Amino acid sequence: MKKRFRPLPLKSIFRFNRIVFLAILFISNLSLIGQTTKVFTKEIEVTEDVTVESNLPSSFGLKMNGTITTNNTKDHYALHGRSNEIRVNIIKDLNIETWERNFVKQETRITVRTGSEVEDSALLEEFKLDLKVGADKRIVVDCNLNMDAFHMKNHIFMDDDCYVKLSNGKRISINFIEIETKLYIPKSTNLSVKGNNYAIIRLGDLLGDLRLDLEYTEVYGTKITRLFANLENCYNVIFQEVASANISAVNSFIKIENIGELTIGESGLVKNGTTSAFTPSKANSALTKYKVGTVGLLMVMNSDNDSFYANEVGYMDVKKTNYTKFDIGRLNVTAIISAKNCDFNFALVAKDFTNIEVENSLCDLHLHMEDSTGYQLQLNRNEYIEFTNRDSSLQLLSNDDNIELYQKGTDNQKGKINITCSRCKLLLDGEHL
Amino acid sequence: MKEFENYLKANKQKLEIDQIDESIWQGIASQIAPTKKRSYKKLTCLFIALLVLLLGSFIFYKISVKTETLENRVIAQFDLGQYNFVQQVNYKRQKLAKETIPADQLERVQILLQQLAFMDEQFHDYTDYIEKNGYQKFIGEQILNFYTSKIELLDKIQDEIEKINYYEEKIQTSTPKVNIQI
Repeated sequence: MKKRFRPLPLKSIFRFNRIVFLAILFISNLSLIGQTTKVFTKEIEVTEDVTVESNLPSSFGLKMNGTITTNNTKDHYALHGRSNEIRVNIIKDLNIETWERNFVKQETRITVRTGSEVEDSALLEEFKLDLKVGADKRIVVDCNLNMDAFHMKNHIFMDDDCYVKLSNGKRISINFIEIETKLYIPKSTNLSVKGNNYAIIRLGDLLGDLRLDLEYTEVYGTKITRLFANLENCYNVIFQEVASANISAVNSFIKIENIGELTIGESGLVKNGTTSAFTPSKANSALTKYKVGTVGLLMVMNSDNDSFYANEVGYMDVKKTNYTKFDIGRLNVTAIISAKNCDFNFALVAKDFTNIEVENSLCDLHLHMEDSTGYQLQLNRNEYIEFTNRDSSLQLLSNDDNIELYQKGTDNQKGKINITCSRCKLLLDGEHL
Repeated sequence: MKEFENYLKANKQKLEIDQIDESIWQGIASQIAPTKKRSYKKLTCLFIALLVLLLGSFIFYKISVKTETLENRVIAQFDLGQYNFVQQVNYKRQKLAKETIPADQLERVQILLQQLAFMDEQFHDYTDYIEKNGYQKFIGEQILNFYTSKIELLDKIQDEIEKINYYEEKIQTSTPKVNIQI
């Protein structure tokens, strides 16, 4: 007798699948059952002259032995154990909000899972949020409270064995931990953030000083009064407005919309509290791209092979630089430059400029003078200069022993350009008077 | 059978070979190259040297293959193959390796070459990270930035060399040219 195949009605298939789906969902969420969350909050009153010192959410030690997989995304850094169960989840963002109140507040949310709810609570009791003003008016913030390290080991015959090590040396078994920290600081306070792991700092307006010693970290800020930054491999450091900045950076990208005073490469790159020997050259700033909207005063102290782009520069003082490329949309007043192998492009030199002095070699110089600009140009042909003059109003006044003097306009026009160069190409653009 | 035996006995003297002159043997012996005693020590040394050479080549091959495959794996994993980073870097490096500049300019170019060495070290940071933590999107973004910076640096070195040589040709100094040793 032939058995006739009868398909199941769609309804029952759907019902069955729904049950299976719910069962899978339930099993997959079993791991989340039994975890306990506690928000640690502490707020202390401070005076204006305090300095808040913070590490990063990823700053605690991770000691691993066995099968470990990680999931590092923009937002979090998670560690999985042998059975692919998540053991540590670090929320990478460190949000630092600034407010008008004279209080520093730390808010740290810790979620743990041990064997039971009682154990969870007991563990959470061990975490201490220590926030107090020290004798030197410093407030040290630990984003991970008193957790020194997270240990995990496993092997083929053993599932994950995890514990947290606290700063007092105590070890507590744990199955899972997640940490997230948020800071609130007065706008007027000074802030210092140090860290060398993948993290993102988001910062509000700050009237005090901001000091950053960072590696592989992104920073997004709004308005900052004074910035001191040591940066290595920080691909996005972005601020809207900075009154004054002193930056030493390697292989980084820095963007500031408006800046009053910018000093590049004044001090040696600091790494782990000491000046780093591991830099690509002897300069304090190297391989870094600076992109600036408007800068009042630009000072380059020691830089090798950076790139500097600015829409508008008021005053420019370049003390020492090699192979750096400068692209300036508009120069307003002065540029005093001592460089080697550095190309300069001034897309526009304002009519009211007063002085441009360049000492350079093996370079391309381009000066495009604003319409109706009168000026005097002294050209010291040290070795070899290819001078292309596209300003037909510029007249040669004298030519004496490799020094050529040109003038455009009348004697009383104040703008002076003095170029001492060897092996250069000089291109001068300008309109008729 | 007996007849044959008798025949042999009768013709014994005829069948025996005549005594060969000793000088013939000496002549043959002199023409043959004297057999040297094979040195056991030398053979061992040769064998060890060969073994070391083979082992060295094997290790070098393994390391280069490992580095190359890791780099290729990294590129493939993060879908960076479309940018032809490795090919671009190799091409630009090969081009630079052929370049020569006046000897007195070599020291200045070292600034850029040191930066290139620094960048190479950086890539080891990423591969170490990947070996420890596995492939992740985040590190892929870092690698994309890394390659962009490295290619820009290689282009910069090329530009600077062309610039140096351009002026050298214009001024026509007699400074001997040297390879940039990349």
